Amino acid sequence: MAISIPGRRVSYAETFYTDWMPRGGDCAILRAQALIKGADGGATVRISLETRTEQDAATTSMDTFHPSSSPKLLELTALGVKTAVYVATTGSNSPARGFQELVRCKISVFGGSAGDYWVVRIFPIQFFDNSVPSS
Amino acid sequence: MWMLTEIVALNTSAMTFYTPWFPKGEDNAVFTLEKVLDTINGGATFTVLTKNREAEGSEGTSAGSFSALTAPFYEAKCTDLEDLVRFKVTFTASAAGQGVIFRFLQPTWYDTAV
Repeated sequence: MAISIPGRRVSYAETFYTDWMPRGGDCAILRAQALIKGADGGATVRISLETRTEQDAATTSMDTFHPSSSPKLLELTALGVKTAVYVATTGSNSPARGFQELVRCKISVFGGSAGDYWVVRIFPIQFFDNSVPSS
Repeated sequence: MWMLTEIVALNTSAMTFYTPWFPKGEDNAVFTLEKVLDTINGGATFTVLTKNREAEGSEGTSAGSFSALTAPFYEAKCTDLEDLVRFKVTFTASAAGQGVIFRFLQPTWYDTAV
């Protein structure tokens, strides 16, 4: 399940979304790589997942299992590859942990100052299902 | 389909197990391990090995080891992989019956972009 972001420059105060894609499992591993950092002002890149059903346009932000502390999303603060893990649970969580039918990425440049930019790529999301119950 | 694997120690000898060799997908990879249960004294150690097709031997060279994300998930970031990759599991139980239950999830393969 590929997301078409092979390497894109994102700039100060920018936010954009990928297209919706069907989920490939209840859980997922999201990985992104910061290729170039031009963020002297201190901006970081925050990548999170959103989910929705086919018929209902209401969008729900998702909560990571890893990282387990706030902000519960994938935040690029330095060059290199970083990982976020999303795990479906047996209970209800808000924001959601566990996918509905459709998934998309939200990419935001967080903080910093005018002129800050990054070049990032998002790898295909690795979907999987739980092997044991997760509360 | 990635079923869980369970390895149980039958004695207290040092044990080493390998997965089969498989071809690399790209030059670099991040491998994910889900270790559901590990009752082995000191824990089991997981390593990534790599070698070229013409190379002989079971171990090739070490491409990296796994570090914790949030348990039960671990990852190994490996670069400059050779043709083949396999995982190695080692442990020394302090009593028979100790064991580890785990699975490897789909890796993220990628080539160097800059």
